[in-house]
Amino acid sequence: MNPFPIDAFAYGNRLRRVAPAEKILFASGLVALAIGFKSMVLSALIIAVVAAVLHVRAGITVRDFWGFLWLPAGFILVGVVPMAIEVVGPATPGVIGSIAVGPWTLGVTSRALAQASAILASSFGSVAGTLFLALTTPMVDLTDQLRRWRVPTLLVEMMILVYRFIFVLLETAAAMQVAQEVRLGYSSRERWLRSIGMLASNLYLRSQRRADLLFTALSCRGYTGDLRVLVDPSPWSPARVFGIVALLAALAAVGLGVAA
Amino acid sequence: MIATTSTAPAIATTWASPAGATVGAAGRAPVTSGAATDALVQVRGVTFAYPDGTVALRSLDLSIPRGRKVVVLGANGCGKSTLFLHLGGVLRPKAGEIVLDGEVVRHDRAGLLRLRRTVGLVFQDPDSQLFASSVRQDISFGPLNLGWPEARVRTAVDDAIAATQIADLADRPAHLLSYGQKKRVAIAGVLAMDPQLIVADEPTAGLDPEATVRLVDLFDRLNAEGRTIVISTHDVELALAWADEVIVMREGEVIQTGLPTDVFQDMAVLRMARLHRPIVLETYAHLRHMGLVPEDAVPPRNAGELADLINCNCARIPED
Repeated sequence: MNPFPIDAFAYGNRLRRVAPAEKILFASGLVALAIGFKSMVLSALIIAVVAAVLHVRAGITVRDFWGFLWLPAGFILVGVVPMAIEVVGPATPGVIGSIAVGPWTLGVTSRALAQASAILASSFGSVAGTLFLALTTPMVDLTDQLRRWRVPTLLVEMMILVYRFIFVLLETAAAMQVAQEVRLGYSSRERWLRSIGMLASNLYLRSQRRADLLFTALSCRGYTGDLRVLVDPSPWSPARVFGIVALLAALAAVGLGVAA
Repeated sequence: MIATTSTAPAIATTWASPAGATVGAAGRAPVTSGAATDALVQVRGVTFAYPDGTVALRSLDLSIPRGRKVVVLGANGCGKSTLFLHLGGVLRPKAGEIVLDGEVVRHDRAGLLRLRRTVGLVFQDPDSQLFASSVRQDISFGPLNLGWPEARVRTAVDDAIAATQIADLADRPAHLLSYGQKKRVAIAGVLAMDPQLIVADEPTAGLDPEATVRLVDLFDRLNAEGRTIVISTHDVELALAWADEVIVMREGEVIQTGLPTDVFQDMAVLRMARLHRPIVLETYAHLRHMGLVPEDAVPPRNAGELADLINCNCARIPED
């Protein structure tokens, strides 16, 4: 029923009621470790820890998590592969392998390979940490927590509106696309291009109109420039925070051990 | 042929309104005079044109009696939504004025605040009204803007959630709600501000029959609390069965105001407003024409009343 699976997990998982501050602490700790150590071993461990915590505590299966983990793989590989490959010459040290392409020789050096693998490791490690937060914490809990931390209102309100309108826009775009599709708008390459262009410009106009309507509707409810809403207190558990810190410390120790 | 049978204004004098005795004379008189004693809102000579030149309201007069259920009818583009936007203080009349509780609405900060405390405007498309990441937070937006203390806001939000029967949706984001659910949330967001007058633009449009019944039931409960309800609709059966008073608009003007059973038998007005007569009254007219119901019978407002009418009359037949 829900076409937005990450959101569905965020609202339906068993860690939903855990204080968002604790989940943010855990996730940002993991991301910091992944980026700080850039270690393949540590990142693999982080992925394993997230998978285990999600499976056991949140009720999100390893298989589901694995699916989400590979979502950004394309982006990561596009960034990492070119880093590993460079133009090499006879004098380049540590060339592992090379191939001649026209006048150039493209090769992989051990230094570039190490660099690429470090980026790969920190990317996947941070993705795992971020996914933990995304899969267990709905947007409303995040923005509430940011409000509690007195993050500037403008930023939080932007997040709220962007989040809300992602879905409004997606729904509008999907409806428009179906309407074009049934009138054969995508039946050839030229028509496809034409249709997608019309869709984009229409979507822009509609967004403008939506924004105007929202402003009007909010004005009727007394909007004067602040999107104030009720935020409930969210008590955190000292025991869990201790557990999170201990787990992060253990991972850091592994990271240090691998580095040494 | 059938049309001619029901245009006589004389019928109106004999019948009692189901809404109670208070309707009496005040409801009967043409309300457009603006002289009704207990009018919550009066619109006096309001004219409005959109920037593109479209004149949407032409020196419009109407009066909304306190505590009543009012239905505004009229073809698309007759100015219903523009009128509602004026009632909500969104649009400002180019000429004329809006009187709230006997006091002319000023379109400055204080005046608009007063208006918005009293009038809750529910938009036709709930998506244009919902913004927050959870239903409960969205509902809390209005009361917080009224500057109430937090405890009062919480009570108001809980009460609005209970009244609109959306407790199970309170923690959901808007995109996980059905259209009907969004409508209820939009009403709850307005209701939480405790308005005396709720104005809803085509609230039943796009709802399934079950959701429509539930929504009408909600409006009835809000009305029973003493709130005045104004809705627009194209559903003449609903207007006949539900309204204490109907207002018929055409090209930016009010062309008729009165009890639904009167207005819906005024074929000239219906034709002008491009409306049709509800099936219940259509049938009633046929039956009267055929002599199957007495000439002095009270016009029915729904299928049940129509059935009763036939039943009573049939009971009399053996005597004849």
